[in-house]
Amino acid sequence: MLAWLQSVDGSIPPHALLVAEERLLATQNGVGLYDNGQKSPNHQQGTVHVTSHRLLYIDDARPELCSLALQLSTVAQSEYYNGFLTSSSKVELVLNSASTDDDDDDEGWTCAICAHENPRSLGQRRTHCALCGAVRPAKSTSAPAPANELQCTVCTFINVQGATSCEICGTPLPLPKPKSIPTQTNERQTMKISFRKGGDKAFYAVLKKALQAKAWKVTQTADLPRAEQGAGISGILNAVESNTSASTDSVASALKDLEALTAQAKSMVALASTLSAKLQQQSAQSSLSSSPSSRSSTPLSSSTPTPDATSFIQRSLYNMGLTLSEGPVVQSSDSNSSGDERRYLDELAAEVGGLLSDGLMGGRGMVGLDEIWCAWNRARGVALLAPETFIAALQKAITGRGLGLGMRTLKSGLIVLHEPRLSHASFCARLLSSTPPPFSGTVEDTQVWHTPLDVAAREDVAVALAAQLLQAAEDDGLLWRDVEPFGGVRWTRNVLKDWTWDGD
Amino acid sequence: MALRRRTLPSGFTLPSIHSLHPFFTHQTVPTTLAVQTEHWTRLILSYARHARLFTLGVEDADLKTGPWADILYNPEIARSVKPAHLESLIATLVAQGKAYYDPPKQTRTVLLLWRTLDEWAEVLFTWASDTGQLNTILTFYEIQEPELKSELSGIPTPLLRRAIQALIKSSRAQLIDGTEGGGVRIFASTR
Amino acid sequence: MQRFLTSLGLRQPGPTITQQDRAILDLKHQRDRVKQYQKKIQVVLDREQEIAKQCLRAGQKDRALVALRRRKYQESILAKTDSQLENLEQLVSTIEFSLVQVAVMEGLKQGNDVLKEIHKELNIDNVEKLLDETREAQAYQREVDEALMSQMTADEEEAVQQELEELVRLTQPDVQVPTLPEAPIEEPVAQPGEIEPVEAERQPERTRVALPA
Repeated sequence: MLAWLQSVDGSIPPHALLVAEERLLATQNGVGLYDNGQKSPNHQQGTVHVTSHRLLYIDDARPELCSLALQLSTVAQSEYYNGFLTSSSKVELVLNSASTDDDDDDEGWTCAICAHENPRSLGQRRTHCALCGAVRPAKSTSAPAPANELQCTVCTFINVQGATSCEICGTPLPLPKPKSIPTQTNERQTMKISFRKGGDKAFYAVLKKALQAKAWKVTQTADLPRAEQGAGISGILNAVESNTSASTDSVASALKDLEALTAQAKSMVALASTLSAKLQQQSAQSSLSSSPSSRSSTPLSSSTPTPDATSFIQRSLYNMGLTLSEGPVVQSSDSNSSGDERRYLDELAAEVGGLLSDGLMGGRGMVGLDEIWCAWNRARGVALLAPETFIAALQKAITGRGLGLGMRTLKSGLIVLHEPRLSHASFCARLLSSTPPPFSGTVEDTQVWHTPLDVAAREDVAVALAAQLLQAAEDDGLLWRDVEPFGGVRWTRNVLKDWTWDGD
Repeated sequence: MALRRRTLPSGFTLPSIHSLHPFFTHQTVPTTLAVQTEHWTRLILSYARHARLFTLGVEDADLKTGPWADILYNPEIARSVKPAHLESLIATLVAQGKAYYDPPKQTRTVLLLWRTLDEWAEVLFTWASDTGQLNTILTFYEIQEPELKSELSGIPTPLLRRAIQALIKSSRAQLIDGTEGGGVRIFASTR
Repeated sequence: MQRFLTSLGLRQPGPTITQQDRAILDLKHQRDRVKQYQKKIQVVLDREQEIAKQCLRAGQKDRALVALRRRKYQESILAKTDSQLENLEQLVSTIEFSLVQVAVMEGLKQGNDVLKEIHKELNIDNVEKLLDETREAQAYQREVDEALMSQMTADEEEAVQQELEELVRLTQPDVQVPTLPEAPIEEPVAQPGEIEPVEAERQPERTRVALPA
């Protein structure tokens, strides 16, 4: 009979009866129901609503008592009969074996994690909480009721079979329900809806569509975003979650690329180290024996690089950052004490000292600290150094390791690293010794004048640095300047300080 | 760049440092600049005394001819004192009290005091008494352009006025205002 | 007060400046102007000469002539100004001289006054009285001396005289006997020429001797 149909409270308006994902599709009033070919007495005057999941019949006379709901999932077939003379058009629904599989009808449940009340869903059983996504515990764990034993509904104590009242709380126990629910499994049940006021064709079309759509079978993951559209906090959290997932994906893909690159770089570093070893071997051999016969017997038969080429190659290797085979010195993350810092600085100083003696300065006599910093960082590749650490390490390297280099701050504020021959004292001594005193002779002596250009050429420093060195010597009182009529400046030995008046 | 002394046709001997190029460049290092300025001011004053030049201005710099060209320009090394340098030298002279800005409230021309004002007053008094012109009315022109060349020939009027003021302070002269110009009467002290 | 004010610069030292002083100053100014004008003329003159020379060198005789004529004209002006200058200077010097005279007059007058003052002090009667008194005093003193001298006895007088002679004798040996020339041994032989003028001389001598009384 219509027993498998669920009774609903018809006094509630239809759209309030809908559960979570259910949508109201069509409505038709003036219908009656036939149960297995016979008029159902209580259901002859009513309104039928078709939703995505159910068919609802709301009785007109007694809506709260005689309204019914039918799960569309139970409908196996549907047929349409046109009206004939006195009988109105009908739609017949063949229902399959009524399965009281409760899994298809989901009651609302409360999530244990976030206490969100998941609504009823007429579709598949919800496996995750709608708000937090926590897994719904399996039904079997919620309230297992072994068949043989009686569970008290008040205190959930499992009584022995045959008990009439609970041993603990004393509530009368219900009679054990027979296991088998009387269903007519072998027979197919049919139901007819008679349209006494028309609207049958459109209704049937909608019903067919709903039956075909089978909205109760949609997977849960699709439900999630649809249900949460427009929800406030959950929407934001969701957006954040999707962003982080996207970024982690991209990072993962990038890291994959980087790993591939480092794998390549490792091979390049190995190549460079073998190359530099060969070059050193080469230079050692060529310095030891100068006869051409020994040179031809070297393993590198293709070309014998000149010393200039050797240094060029070495410098290029530095510039590419492929020389630190052991990897750069990095400060361990857990070092906080000053002892650790000192050790770190010592290691850094050792590293930079090694680089400098290998030729980081590129053969020039005086190099600005900015160039050294860039070169060292390029050599390190990763774990770049801050300027303060760099200066501290450099100072340690200079004072401690006997490199023979000096650090000097010029008047413009530029700090340079220089070889001993370019210290202030030795530079000035050299400058003045090349100047014959102007007291001798009347012949114009062209060597007397110093300009930044010829100092740069003579001392092998950059022109700007040469100008600053000359300026430093002038500030010391050793030189004085002559400005030519068209603006050029040149310096010569300062004779003014020792000169006494010999005019009128 | 030979260091040697040069004697001008007028008989003035320039110091040997005048033949060095950097001497004409406004030095930047303070110690060197101080020594250079000292020598330049001494040179300027002694030449002014020799050539009896009373005024010096910034416009005298960078000139190849003119009363100061012998000092401020050296043709052998083709260097001359630049106007900015000369202006600073003038400022130093004024600060030392060896010159004063005339006309006042500008910093370009000065009157040189290679004799102090008191010395000038004495010279004036001595001249007046030697030429027997004490207690006589004298015009400024008479003092500045006498028939016979004197120590006071060519003295500019502002300087002469200041010297007369000094004499007035020591009660030895009085200024007389005629209808056409100024006059002075010098007499022996009334003290 | 005067000096204080002078040192402050509020007052000029020396005698007051009179109108005459100002007049002299103006005159001198005029003279100076003439002198300056003369200088200018001289400069023009020299320049014209220079131009004339150049024109001659360039062969432009007529232009040289013009220049020379101009020069002549300047010279004449110079001469005229010279005479005017002379006038002025004469006037100036006259004035100065007259001032000097005035000063001298002043001096004389002052001296005169001073002398008069002194004379007032110096009265003739007082002087004569003073002289008389002085003479009386001197005479009195002589009488006093004589009175004192008569007290002395005749013996004492002799002793004093003897002492005097002794002193003379003591001093006399110091006096040397003058060397006398050698006396002639022979009798002198008188020459006839000499006797008569000697006798003639004696007679006017006698007469001459007789006259002074």
